[in-house]
Amino acid sequence: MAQEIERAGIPTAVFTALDTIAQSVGCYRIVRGAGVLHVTGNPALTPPQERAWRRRLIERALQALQTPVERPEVFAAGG
Amino acid sequence: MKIVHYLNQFFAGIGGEEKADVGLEARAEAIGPARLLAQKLGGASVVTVICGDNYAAEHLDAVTDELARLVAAEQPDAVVLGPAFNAGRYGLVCAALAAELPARTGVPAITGLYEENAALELYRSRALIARTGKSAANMAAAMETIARLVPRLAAGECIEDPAAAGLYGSGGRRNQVVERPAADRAVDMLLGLLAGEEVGTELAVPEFEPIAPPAPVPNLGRAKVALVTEGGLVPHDNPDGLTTGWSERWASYPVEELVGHPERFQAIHGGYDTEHVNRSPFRLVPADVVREMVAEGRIGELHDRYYVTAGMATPVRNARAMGAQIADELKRQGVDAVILTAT
Amino acid sequence: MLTRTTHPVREVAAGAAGYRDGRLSLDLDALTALVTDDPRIAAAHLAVVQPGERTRVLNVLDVFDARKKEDGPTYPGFDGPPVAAGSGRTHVLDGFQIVASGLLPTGEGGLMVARQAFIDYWGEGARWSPFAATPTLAVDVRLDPAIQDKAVADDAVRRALIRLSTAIGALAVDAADGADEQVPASWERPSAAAGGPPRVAYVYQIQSQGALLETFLYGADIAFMYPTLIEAAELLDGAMVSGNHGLQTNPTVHHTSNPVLRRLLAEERAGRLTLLPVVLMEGHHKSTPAKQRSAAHAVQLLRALRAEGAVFTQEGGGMSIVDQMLTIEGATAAGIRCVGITYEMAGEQGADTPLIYYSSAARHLVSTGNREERVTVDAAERVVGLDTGESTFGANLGGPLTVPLYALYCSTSQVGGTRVRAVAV
Repeated sequence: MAQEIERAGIPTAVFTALDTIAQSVGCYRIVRGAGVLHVTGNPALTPPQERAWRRRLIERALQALQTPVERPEVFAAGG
Repeated sequence: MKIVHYLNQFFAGIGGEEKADVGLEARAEAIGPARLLAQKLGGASVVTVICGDNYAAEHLDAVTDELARLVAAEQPDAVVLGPAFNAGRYGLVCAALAAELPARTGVPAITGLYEENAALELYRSRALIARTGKSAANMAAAMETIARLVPRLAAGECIEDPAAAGLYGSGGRRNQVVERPAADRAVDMLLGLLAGEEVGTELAVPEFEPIAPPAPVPNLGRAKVALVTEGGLVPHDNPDGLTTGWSERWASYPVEELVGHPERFQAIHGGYDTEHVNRSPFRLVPADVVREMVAEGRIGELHDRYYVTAGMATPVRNARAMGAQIADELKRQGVDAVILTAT
Repeated sequence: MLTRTTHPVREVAAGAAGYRDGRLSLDLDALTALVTDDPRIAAAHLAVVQPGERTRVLNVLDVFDARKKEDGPTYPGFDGPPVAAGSGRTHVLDGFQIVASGLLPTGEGGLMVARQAFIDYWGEGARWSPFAATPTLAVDVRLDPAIQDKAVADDAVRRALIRLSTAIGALAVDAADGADEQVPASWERPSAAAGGPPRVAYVYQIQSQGALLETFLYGADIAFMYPTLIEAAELLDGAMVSGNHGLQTNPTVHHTSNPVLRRLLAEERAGRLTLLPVVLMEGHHKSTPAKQRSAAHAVQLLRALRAEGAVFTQEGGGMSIVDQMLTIEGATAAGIRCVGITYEMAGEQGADTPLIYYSSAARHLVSTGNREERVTVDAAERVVGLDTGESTFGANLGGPLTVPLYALYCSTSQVGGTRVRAVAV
């Protein structure tokens, strides 16, 4: 699905745990998510910690959206 | 020969995007590309049906009904839709009509699409679709192909070799038992390759023609960002009846509602354990954080709806078609960037 | 140099044990005792099944041919020490097979469950099967129900089959009618001359994912094996035995008489290629780095062999396709011509994308069929094996069934030992 949105020229940051498949399909801006069950979540943290953690993840996505790319790139969220 | 020819507002010469909402209209004359086709058929009596892209896409059932009634009344030898080349909405409508009308009316129908059009994979097994180039610059060649096929279809012929006739095959795979085992065929193929022969393949790898990478967002503080998810997050009553997998439909819901009342949302995806997401939907659709960033001025605007499908076991052609429709919608809503969460 | 002496079997019947003039006679009582000569096996029912009979053999676990090595173990690592196979003389009965039917403990279920595919010897089911045209000794193995350990149960069945294979193979050792086939070792082949026949490799992917989804090399499972080299002669001489009961599997006979290898050797004898040592690799890796590591090393081996072309096969589900594609991609980038054999998962209607993963480098593929297309088979007159009433494929396995192609054992053989393929419509 992401590919169609990119085809329309809209930069798309894709959160997924399975980056090989995303890369093979040709998504350009891939952010490694936190696992299939909670791709932008981390239930091991307390709610305020989780929110701060999610914020860092989205920051990474925003960074991806502002980065020119020529081939599929994985933006790994640190921490 | 008598043809009913369906065109959108643009090809009928009525107007562009601003006329995309015009309803169905029939005219007892050949208009635009329909004239070209009639010429190539050596003269034909034509009823041109015109409909705006948006109107058709949003009222497909009604349009199909009305067109079926018209075809039943006019009794043409064939119905021609488009061709639509690479157009998104137009392509989906033409292909859907080409799939549905013959079953309803007994009259053969044919359309034309570019090979990358998402509508192709969705409908090729159910509709006759001629291979065309990417844009209307290819109109003459496309009409040539269609003009050669129309008399054959009108005569009730079943096209045995679609590729030779300029049609896409249904794209399906069918098993057969052959003389020689696969191991032998593989060794033969390799020896042929090593001898420099053209050996082909028994299974074509789809050409994932790389699309150009979208340019980055120039100014995030002025950008409109939208959230999209394949994780099946919907309001509790699932008002649009999204299925837990094998998606064919997508929907959109108000972000305001999600942020204000996350407890009213649930994930209906059949392919993963949705417990964590149900406890906190922002683990799938991170609207809380993005909203915050808008308030801080970090992001210009968050689009007021988020878009959702359930990604499990969705056939590629459905994913592409839904993606194309959502992309269309996003463009119309002036969205500059998307954050998409997959599972 | 391996001398593979094949003895043609034209007729199989129960009777006093012997092989003479193409007629194989099997002492079923003695063979049954051979199977149950293991406390893990509670009982066994053996039967001769002829092609054309309305017989269905259920719950197929493995297929062996009957063979015996003149001196040395026939399946080294199992019926003797793990000495290198591939030399001396081995007798193989051609036109006969042993099919094991059995239910293995399912443990925690899920992926690691022995599948319940069957073989029909007549009608529509036979049409799609690689095994229906060969006279068969069907062996219905009943394990001691107290055994819960999958690996233990599986080992009991495998060893019983090995005992049968070698006991029956032994009947042909003194027969006069053998046809000899020489399978040279790599070091016995002339050095590559410039302008000689093209150097061809076989990249042989096998699976090891734990009990019931395993392959054994010289008696040991191959988990975590780096891609390695092995002689064709070793493989055709019992070095590799299956322990794989997955949905997609290569039975033992497809290892010991690998159809790709046999064809490559035939072409070599005709002077059309030079066969290189086989690149043997574990596939079905579950992480991206593991796949990349394995593919990269396999390609290094191909380059070290100066391979000009290679055939690639698989074992296992969709993951094995990914491994195959990655290896083809790497080999193609290194200038090697590649042909892959693959099955398809194009859905019941044949309308879905056939493979879960592609590389645009894989331009030459041979299809072994869409495993999901439905097949309708009639009721059997005789059933071999236990129908628990709870199988994946229906409640009455002996009755008329409409099943996906993969219910017919090895119909989409990943080493190309099938005549099934899918075509575009």
